[in-house]
Amino acid sequence: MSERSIQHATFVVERTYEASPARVFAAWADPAAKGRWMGGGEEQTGEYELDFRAGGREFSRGGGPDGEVYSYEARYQDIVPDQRIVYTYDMHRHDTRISVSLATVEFKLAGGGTRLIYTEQGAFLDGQDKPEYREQGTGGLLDALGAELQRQAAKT
Amino acid sequence: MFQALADPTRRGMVERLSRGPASVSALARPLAISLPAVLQHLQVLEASGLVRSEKVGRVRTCHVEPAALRPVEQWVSKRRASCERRLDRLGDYLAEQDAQPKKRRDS
Repeated sequence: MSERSIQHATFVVERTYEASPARVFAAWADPAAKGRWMGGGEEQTGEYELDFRAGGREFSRGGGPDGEVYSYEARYQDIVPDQRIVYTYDMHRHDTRISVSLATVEFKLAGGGTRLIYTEQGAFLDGQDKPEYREQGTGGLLDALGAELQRQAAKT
Repeated sequence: MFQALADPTRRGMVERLSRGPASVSALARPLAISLPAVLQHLQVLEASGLVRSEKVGRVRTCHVEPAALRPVEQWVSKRRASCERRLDRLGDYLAEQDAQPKKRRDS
């Protein structure tokens, strides 16, 4: 895939936790705590490092649900304890850089708990992370799409 | 996405949701499988970014994310879905901490 392209996208995810901003913040700041929830699920984290301070680096590498090896490298830009974290990160699939993002995490006191607002602005490089996805198009005919995907899944 | 739609039960769920949002129990009703099995299928669909759900009070409502079928949105949707799962795990982690009394280091 030699075609070069950049797509910009922003998304926001919000959650409310029954814990103080200090406790929620600590779960991001402490490497042992963050290792507990950041990896896991189907994203098996093989390696994980966290140097949580402005200018510090975070790194993780592991197999994704699709069997590919993904690595994540972040640089902390701004940290205000219990209030916000600003960092930039890039993602590689094997040796290919697939995205560069700016992420902010805000911790706001809400009732007795914490409202967390995660905002990411990303530049997604050279199409998408799987060439097959390009073939899919908008379609909207889920039956046909499902059948096609089933055939492709059967091949792998 | 491939694995998400490869399963006939999940395709049925997506087809149902393509007609409009539905609660988990409404999704489960026509299916001859247990509620935990429905929730597992739902998890796979959410991980693919194709379906999203929100819990309001005690009811979880699901809807399809048509944008997930467009390549770029699909990628963003996957990234968002993985971020949502991670933040849910953070919630589980915080709840677990609440459940176990803190270990005393000085005793």
